[in-house]
Amino acid sequence: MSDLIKKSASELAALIAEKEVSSREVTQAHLDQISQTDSLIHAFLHVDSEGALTQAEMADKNQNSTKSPLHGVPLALKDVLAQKGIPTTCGSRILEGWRPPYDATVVTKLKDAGVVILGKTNMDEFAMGSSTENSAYGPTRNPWDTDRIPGGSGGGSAAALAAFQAPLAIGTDTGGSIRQPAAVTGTVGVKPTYGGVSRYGLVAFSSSLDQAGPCARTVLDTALLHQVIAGHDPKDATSINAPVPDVVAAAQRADVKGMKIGVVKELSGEGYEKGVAERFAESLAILESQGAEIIEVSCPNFTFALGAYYLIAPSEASSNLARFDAMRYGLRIGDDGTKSAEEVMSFTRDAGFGDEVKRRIILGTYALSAGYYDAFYGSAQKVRTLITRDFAAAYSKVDVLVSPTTPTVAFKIGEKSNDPVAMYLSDVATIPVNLAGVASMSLPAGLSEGLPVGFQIIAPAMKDDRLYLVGGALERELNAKWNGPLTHQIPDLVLR
Amino acid sequence: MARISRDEVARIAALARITLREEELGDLAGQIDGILDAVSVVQEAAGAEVPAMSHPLEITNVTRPDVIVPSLTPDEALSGAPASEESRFRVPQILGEEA
Amino acid sequence: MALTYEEVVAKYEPSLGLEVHVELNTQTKMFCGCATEFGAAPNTQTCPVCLGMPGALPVVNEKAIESTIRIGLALNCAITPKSRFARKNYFYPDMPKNFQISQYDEPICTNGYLDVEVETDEGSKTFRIEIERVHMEEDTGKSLHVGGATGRIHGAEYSLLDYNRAGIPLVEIVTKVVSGTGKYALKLRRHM
Repeated sequence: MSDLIKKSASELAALIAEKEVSSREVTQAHLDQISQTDSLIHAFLHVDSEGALTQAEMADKNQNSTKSPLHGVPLALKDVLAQKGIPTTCGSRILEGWRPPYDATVVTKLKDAGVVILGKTNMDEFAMGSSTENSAYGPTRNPWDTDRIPGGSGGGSAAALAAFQAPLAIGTDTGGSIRQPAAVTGTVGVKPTYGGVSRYGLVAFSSSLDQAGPCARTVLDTALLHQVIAGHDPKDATSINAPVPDVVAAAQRADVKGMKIGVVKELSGEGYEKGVAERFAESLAILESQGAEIIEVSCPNFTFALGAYYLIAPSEASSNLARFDAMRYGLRIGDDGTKSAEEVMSFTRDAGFGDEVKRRIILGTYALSAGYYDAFYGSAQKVRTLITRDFAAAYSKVDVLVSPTTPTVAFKIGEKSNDPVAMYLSDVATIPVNLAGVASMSLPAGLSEGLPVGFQIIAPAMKDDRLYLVGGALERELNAKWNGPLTHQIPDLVLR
Repeated sequence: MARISRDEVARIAALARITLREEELGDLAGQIDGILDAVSVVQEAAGAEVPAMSHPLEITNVTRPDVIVPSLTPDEALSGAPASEESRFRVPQILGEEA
Repeated sequence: MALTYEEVVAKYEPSLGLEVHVELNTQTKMFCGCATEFGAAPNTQTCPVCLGMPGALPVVNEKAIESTIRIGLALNCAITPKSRFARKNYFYPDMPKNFQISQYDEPICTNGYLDVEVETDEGSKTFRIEIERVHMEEDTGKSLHVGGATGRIHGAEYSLLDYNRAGIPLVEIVTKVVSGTGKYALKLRRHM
């Protein structure tokens, strides 16, 4: 039974469809793995054992009802998405115990596809961070080395995959929060084209950058999940009204012959750890051997991306997080009958928000305030135009762009938590993607000193399928080299 | 020279309805200063002729028809309320002027 | 030395403008499908969107846009080809998101006028009220102030919020300064 947890989602779905194993058994196996390992890993904030088993039993009863390729397969859901009746905290004290009265569209789609939701995963508070150390509920540990971070903000989802607690997960990505955790945990994560997946029910951090996306241990599993959650939603006015690109077919074809792959000069390894740069170069060589043409391109305005992001995201966040005011839901403190609403709001927000969230709210409020708006937020929005133009210019020469996902392997818990700017640098390669709204994937490229390195692929908007063509091809060759997926090399967990 | 003083941080925190404690004020001013230093490079990036972009993918005129959709029940709406009374959200005394 | 009211009125010509908020009679709210019917029991016409719940998103009511354009045309305004919503950020318990979705830089209608005929001492006279802009925004919830002597906000112990009204479409009509109306200002206002 324990080898059920090592299987991919597509393998499990096939076994379930052929009635060789039930969704209930598969779900139970994963719940057991969570019980055994999560006191160490802490990937989950809430495990819904009863709900998951009920969903699994329904899936077993209604085998043919969904016609979904993931029917009966379990999944971990990042705690930033509203799941009706289930605690949704966004990793924050200010929403401790909040049970939404509604489902996010992504959740509705998962349920309609017969996917079994195991529980809600840990994250940096309100998706702000690159290590999951900003969670109000304690950090998550990287299964590869439990003294190290699993990445952020979606460290819980990535760790759950790497710890074999779930074969599928949902993350969200605003500046790299799916891709960077995927890179440092040796898993696959995709940020779809902005608007590709509905944001209805995704608690907003930075509305013009946020995207929910699929995470798994294999490229094909990621594609199957992408197909389930993507698509137009009338409840999200920013969602794209066009068919989802055929990502599953692309993952199965996995062929790069004749493709032009652009290496972004500004993201190509200078200032990146040696092992990261080496795995990247090896991956390029593999793609070349598979028939792709590697071309160097320059995106000079990418050097302004980090600055633009750390103005735009906090500005939008300062407005989005204003609703957490102790009046209608969430934490309320200081209401002893002598304080005004304004005082209760202010005390609650100081107590309920963590340091990074407060930092960004202050920064954002400042950047939007009278006298500073044009210089800060206004300038940052212009940089966005320049970055989008850089991408467009690059795509006139190549089909996809590539880079290492993040400059370093997983760092130690506590190593960067006192230096905000050092922490922000983890996202230097992932951020330009969100500013331009294009699609991007991180998949494992190998190890450096025993820790995973990620390879980032960036496709033009609405061409998400190209991610899977390239990712699938690279994965196939690397798995052949490694005699199996990278995650099979994870050292056994030493359960304390 | 610091771009943002303790007093400025306190003023902005008040705008954002966050009562910062003394020890937070000191730390924050320094940290935000550091961040502002790192990000202010954007001011040199683009000339006046570059348009601002708020949304990368141009979508226009997305609307919904004027058709009623079932609402939440009052119980659902109030389910997370810290305090309620007679199907209304109960909040502490409001001191500020109504806008 | 301070002037008396009579002295002020004799000496100065008042120049006033008006900001008029009009609630549209659409079936549903500005950004969600909740009903707008007046007089419903508290919090029976609310949803995650108009309650400002985490994760909720606004989608604009097409009838509200049409009505606003009609109002603009009736006021001889130019209808802007590209209009934008903006967030007015401030904190108040009757405003669930603590920002109001309104319009700032690019209102939907601009530069109109309304000619109003008023009976004056010299016979019938036409005053032209110039319209600066007409734009769309959302209404706030309703507060009931409890515990004070007058039922108003001053001296209240606490307040009760009903969000049925939150999100109902509002059209804001802003006039330019109207001068020279003098003692006919009240009559003019009634006609408008």
